[in-house]
Amino acid sequence: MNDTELDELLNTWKVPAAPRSLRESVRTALQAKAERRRKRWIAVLVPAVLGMAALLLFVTPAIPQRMGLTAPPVKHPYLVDSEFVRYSKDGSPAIDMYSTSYNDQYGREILLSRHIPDNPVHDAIARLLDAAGDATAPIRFRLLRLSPGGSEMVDKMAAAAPRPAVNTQCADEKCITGVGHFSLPMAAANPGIGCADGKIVDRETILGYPTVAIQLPLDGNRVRRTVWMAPALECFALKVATEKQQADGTFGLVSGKQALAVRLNP
Amino acid sequence: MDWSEADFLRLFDDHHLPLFRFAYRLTGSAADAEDIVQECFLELLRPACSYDPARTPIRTYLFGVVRNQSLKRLRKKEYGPDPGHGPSPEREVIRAEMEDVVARAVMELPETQREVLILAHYEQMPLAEIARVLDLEVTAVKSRLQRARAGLKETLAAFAPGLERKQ
Repeated sequence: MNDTELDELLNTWKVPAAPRSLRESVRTALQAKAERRRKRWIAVLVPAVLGMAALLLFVTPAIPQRMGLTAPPVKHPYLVDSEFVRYSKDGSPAIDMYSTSYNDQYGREILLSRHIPDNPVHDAIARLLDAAGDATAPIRFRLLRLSPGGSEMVDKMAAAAPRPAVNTQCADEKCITGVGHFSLPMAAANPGIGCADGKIVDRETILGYPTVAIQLPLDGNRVRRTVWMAPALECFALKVATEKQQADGTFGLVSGKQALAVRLNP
Repeated sequence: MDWSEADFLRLFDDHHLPLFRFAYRLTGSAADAEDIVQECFLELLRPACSYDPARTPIRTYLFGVVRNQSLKRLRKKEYGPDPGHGPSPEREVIRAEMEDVVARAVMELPETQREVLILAHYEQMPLAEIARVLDLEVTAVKSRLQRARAGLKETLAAFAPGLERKQ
């Protein structure tokens, strides 16, 4: 028997069609998970709000320096207002969130504030969670140290060299839990080398600032992210576009970030 | 990793058919294949899910999960081909259809050869990707595939198209 004959024989073995119920059961499981998560959030949020209130009312006056509440406001040389956009399947954009941020000396984008348009409830929850997250960071780190292997992990995080990072999209669909960020390859965004050690795919002047764009493949080239960085703003990413490969092989936008204004010496 | 419902269902639509075929051909059972594919996608929703998009293409990851789940089930049970593909006396008497014969021959291959053959022949997966799914060297994949094909040629020799025509 030759190879072709074997292939012909093998091809006679057919597979029954996948049951239609499979998709529905996966969808149901997904919805159940979302519901569980929602309930968990509510269960966490109420005690967290009460705990935060207690913390702010009773604890922080005793240790104001440690909480950073009495520190003078930090002056930033510039601030960038940006919008985060999500694209639906037909390509229509929807604004998820507005943010104000800047890059620190390591090229990490630092978020100062954010705002979810058209949904005051989500906006309020997000702000509360942001505040709680910042204020409880030292406590969370202490708790993490108590967990198995946590102490090593915290030490590793502290010792690790800071990597350039750019905020790319909301961390969840409602933008409540924070902003997803993406670490750039060190050489690609190091301010010391002009942001563009990676492959430059575009140059564009955004809001009067020349930028260089590098493209980074993700998920085995099925997703690609292009980041336009401005050397004059410590390599701040004034524009980010994330595209996903479609069934026909072309790439379509799924999310993006675009600077709306740069404020110098705010 | 957080998924929106739309993204997750798109992922499901893109990948569930080859995963179902793979699970079916590994276990020989449509019911088990359905369970395995469902578990595979639910795995992505678990907080402890190890999928890292920066390191592994999603297709490779999903095939790896289906493979592990299938092997787990195979080890729990004494598997043979589906009852529909089984050696019922009637079928033996009237000479089983070619499909049943082929299914049985593939199912009887050693597990390590069977998974390579299914991915390479039925899913047309490149050897390098098979190596990633199975966590093997490409050379090991090649040699398992050769052994599987040689074994099948021997088992199915009597059913070669040329011979069949002569009968």
